[in-house]
Amino acid sequence: MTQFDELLSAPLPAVADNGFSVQVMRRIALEKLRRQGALAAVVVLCLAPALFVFPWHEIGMTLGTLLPHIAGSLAVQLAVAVVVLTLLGERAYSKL
Amino acid sequence: MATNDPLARLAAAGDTAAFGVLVRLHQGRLRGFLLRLTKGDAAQADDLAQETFLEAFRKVAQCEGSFFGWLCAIAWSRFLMEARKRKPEPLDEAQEVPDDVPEPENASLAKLDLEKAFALLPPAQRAALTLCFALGFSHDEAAAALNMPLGTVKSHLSRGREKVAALLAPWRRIGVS
Repeated sequence: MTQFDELLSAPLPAVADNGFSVQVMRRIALEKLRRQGALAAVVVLCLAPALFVFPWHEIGMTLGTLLPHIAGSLAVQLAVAVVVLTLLGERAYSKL
Repeated sequence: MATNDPLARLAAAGDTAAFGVLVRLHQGRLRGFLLRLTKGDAAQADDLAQETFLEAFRKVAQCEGSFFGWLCAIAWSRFLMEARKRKPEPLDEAQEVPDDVPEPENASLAKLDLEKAFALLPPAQRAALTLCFALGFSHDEAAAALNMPLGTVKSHLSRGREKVAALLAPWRRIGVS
């Protein structure tokens, strides 16, 4: 290798980071956020028409007739009792 | 063919932290390369470097071979787009070498004059010489990064080298320390 080639092969002048990487990563985070926002907007736009044709009335009627039966079932009453007792027990235990 | 860089593979799988490490690892050399392409315009070089990294983040799954080589390919295409927008600088035609090359006063200024000589080269020669000499790319790697046939890269290298040699002739007479 000649002296001239050595001169040409000299490393490029060092460039200090000086916050460059942080700035790039900040822009990347913003871009990711924008991309997620755009995706969410697309999902909402796709679902919005479905909300208008959704059978809300029929569902409400069905729930209205079913809920009293569900609430009156022994299994559901027992499950609710267990949950309430567990929460009360946990609160009492944490005060000790 | 996928990339051979494990960090780039992680980034392609959605690991943003891995991409952050890649940015920190390569920003210095990439900005140095762009600084030479933009003839020392630090603001333009940094803008281009940021755009390069953003594009790389979007397309990291398409990265093939060396990550830095691929990054240089993006940077070069961004630089070309920007150069076409800014002013009509000939992208690969030869520029005239001035006759009045000043005699060197001090050998420590050789590198400064090298940068001045590079600034007189057309961008394609500047890029080819920088990739193959300062950044240690093989001719094939440089051809891939610059999206040029191998023969064209070799011709840019040879013409660019001759022109820099002519511009630095006074240094060569006294010997570069």
